[in-house]
Amino acid sequence: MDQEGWRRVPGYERAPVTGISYQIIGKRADVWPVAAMLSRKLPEPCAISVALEPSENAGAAAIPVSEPILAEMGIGVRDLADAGARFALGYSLENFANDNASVIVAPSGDLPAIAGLPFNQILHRVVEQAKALDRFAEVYAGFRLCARAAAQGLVALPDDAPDSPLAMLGPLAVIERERLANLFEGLVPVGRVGFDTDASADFTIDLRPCERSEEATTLPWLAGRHIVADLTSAPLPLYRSLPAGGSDAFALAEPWQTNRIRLGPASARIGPLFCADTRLFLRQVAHLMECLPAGKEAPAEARRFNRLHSQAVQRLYEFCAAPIVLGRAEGGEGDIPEGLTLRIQQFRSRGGMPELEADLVDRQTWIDLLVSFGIVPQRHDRRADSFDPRQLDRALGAIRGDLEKALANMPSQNVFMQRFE
Amino acid sequence: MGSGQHQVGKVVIVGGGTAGWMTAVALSRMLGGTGLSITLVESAAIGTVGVGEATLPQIRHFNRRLGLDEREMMARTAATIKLGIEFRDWGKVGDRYIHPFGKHGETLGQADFIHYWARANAAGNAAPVGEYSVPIMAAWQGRFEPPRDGDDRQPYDYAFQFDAGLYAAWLADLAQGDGVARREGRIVDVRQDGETGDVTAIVLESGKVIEGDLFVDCSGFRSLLIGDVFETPFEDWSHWLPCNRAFAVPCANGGDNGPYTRATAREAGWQWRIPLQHRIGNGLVYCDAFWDDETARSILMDNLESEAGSDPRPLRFRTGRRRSLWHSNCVAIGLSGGFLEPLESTSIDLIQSGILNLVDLFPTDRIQEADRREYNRLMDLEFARIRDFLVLHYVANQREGEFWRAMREMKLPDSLEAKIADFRSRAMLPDYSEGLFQAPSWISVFLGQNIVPEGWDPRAGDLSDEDLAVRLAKVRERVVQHAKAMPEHLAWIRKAGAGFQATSARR
Repeated sequence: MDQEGWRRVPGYERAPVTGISYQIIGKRADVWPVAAMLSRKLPEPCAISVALEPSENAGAAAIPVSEPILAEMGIGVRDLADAGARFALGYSLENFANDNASVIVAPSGDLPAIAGLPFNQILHRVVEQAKALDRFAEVYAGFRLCARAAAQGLVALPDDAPDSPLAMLGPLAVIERERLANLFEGLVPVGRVGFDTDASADFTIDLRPCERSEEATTLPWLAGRHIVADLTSAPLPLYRSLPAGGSDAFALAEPWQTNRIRLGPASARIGPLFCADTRLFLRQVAHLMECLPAGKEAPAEARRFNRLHSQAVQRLYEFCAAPIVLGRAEGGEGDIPEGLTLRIQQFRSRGGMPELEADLVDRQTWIDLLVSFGIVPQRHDRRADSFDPRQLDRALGAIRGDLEKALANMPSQNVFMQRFE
Repeated sequence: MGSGQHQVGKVVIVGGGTAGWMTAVALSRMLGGTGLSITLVESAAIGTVGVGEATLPQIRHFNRRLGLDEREMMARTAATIKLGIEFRDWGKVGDRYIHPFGKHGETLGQADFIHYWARANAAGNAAPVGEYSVPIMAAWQGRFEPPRDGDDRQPYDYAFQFDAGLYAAWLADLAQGDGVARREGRIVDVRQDGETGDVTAIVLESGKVIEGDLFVDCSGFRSLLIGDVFETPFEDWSHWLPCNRAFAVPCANGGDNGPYTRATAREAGWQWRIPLQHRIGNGLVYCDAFWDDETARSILMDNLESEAGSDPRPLRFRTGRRRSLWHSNCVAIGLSGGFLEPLESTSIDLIQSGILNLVDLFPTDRIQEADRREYNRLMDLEFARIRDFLVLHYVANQREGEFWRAMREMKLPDSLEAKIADFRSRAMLPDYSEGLFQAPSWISVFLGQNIVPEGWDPRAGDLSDEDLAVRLAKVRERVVQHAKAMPEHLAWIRKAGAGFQATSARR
């Protein structure tokens, strides 16, 4: 082997970093986030054109205000509010649990660690000591600040009091996709984007909905599920599981092939639950930003993007499948996603919550979700046994007091919106 | 016992040495309040390998968690500071670079620093990447001071180089002070539960029986429990890392007190140099398919900076790891579970990871399959990611000679093949969130061994050529000034009260 040419990538010569052209094809709700990102991130000589497909109303989405691409593009809560968003602290699920009880899923940061141990480990120890493990979920529910606030129709931002329990909140913006697209469109400098179809573009970013093909992977726990979203529901966006009649669920394994990059509806259909399709799309825009081609051939960028896509799909699939897997009657319906199995096993066994690569959901949110569906750890971290139970009681009491105080001072959704008037 | 229904109350650590005593201190300090009794069994008649004298910054995290005093540790173990590892002659003969415990450069715009550097480098306008790194520049100048709170300098970290034998002795003192029982004796029998297969007790030559619920195999290459008793399969990685022998020998310090470990490539292996306060630790790692023992021994002895302090000690090993490091009621920590050559000073870090994962997963009433599975998953990840990083040093070479040509032409793990292609084509770096070696480490080795990016993130085009050159020059100047302002390494050690104080160990 040529020593100087050691493991050179075939066909990949020193890349010109200017003059690469992009064509974006799709409906405007999908096109503008991509066009805005490219126009802001690419140097001037890169040409960007969009080809808008006719579109009907794209509907609404409930997305975390902390979604990375929003911050990257400078879209803040006020911008979202000005675009007509309302805000909520979680989602409501109906007909997922075995007993048909509704379940609140609220994004949540970590509850405070006690003596360096995760909160749930200490709580388990105290509850077990009181011989009340059968009431673990009930006791734990009192500490679910985000879910309790969500259910009461309250809302605040973590930044309102970063040194308080409010820092745990993970607010969602419920916004029409068209209006979200307007926000992105407004970030595109005048004249930066052309509106001609450019068949000769170096890269085509395809956002047109696709049907499942042979190259797609089925997501069995979501395929055929009839889940109806009612994002106008108050106080929380609502998802209802219905007996039958759902659509397909799948994802492409390699949405970026040669110079065709398929994003959003062109790459996957995970389903409506937790606005997974919109969240995947926004993540893909962020991933594309990290993988912008250095040259007109971009095999390494494609490989990296496809890996990030696969991880994001997997993590979203696990999260969306969780209420279905956890709420089902005994018996399987296909293989449970590996990451979800790991989380369930570890939490059930010892209250642990493994961190997986490219997690999209905070660990506390996972813990809340599993407890909501009745999973109670069999054991706790052994280190929790080394503390004086009276000290632990006091620590738990202090945390509960702080949470109640935060809850009592949190504004309703309507009052919260007044700050933007 | 362990897998049954009883409380896991008795831990037996088989083997002293670094792994055994680190495990003993950690378990006693982190779990001692839960009623755990800990017994360590070792035999003075059996030596320890003890070549793992260089560490990584993660040891500071470990020390803090255990409440260990760093300066006391330095004084007891003759430790010096380590800001990185110098690699000599690895790309081509004459090449020299440092893998630092810190990053390169500063934020210049939308893209990461490495992309701006790659762009400037392609235009011939960049200095070697090491000149944008505070720990590298400090290391070259033999200077050190710890990072300060509220530091406005480039972030960096440090580790230690210490005498592993003294380190184990110091930990033995601490552990026994915490209540760990030490039993002296050679193990002649292992008793197992007829139903579960769990180890129930070990029997010493004296006839003494030591029972336990959980056994930690720190018996080194002998793998008394995880290997001999459980016959856990060994995954051999010698097709990727074929070096399988070493000689180790101390010598007096020839005068170079730079705060870094050195690894110098030789014709069929590499030589380490680890400066301590009272001596230099040296060794030569080699592959017996290319060198016989006598050749290797001569090359080591011919390349010492001063007279050898003893005869060179031979070591034999096979690179790889046990498929299950936690099997039944036995956890393998240290060399009993696997071996990766000490090129990046990972031996002690793997011990730490094994211990901390065990503490996190330590069973209460009984060991569950979920405990074992998670432990093995976490350790698998750790081993595989270190392996790829080590292999990179060998394959990214342009040296002459049969050994290095064979290294260059080997079939790589797929995971590494992609990492190299990603960096060469667009300066893309491994982006996993967990793992010992993060982006700055990969940058050092890629560039140090002449894998240079041919493309970069187009966002790095947001500065003009002139602006980029000016800003890079300013970063470099700041780095040089920060390094120059630090005290000399050994002067800092003396002033910090960390000078070596030889103390007789309790055992």
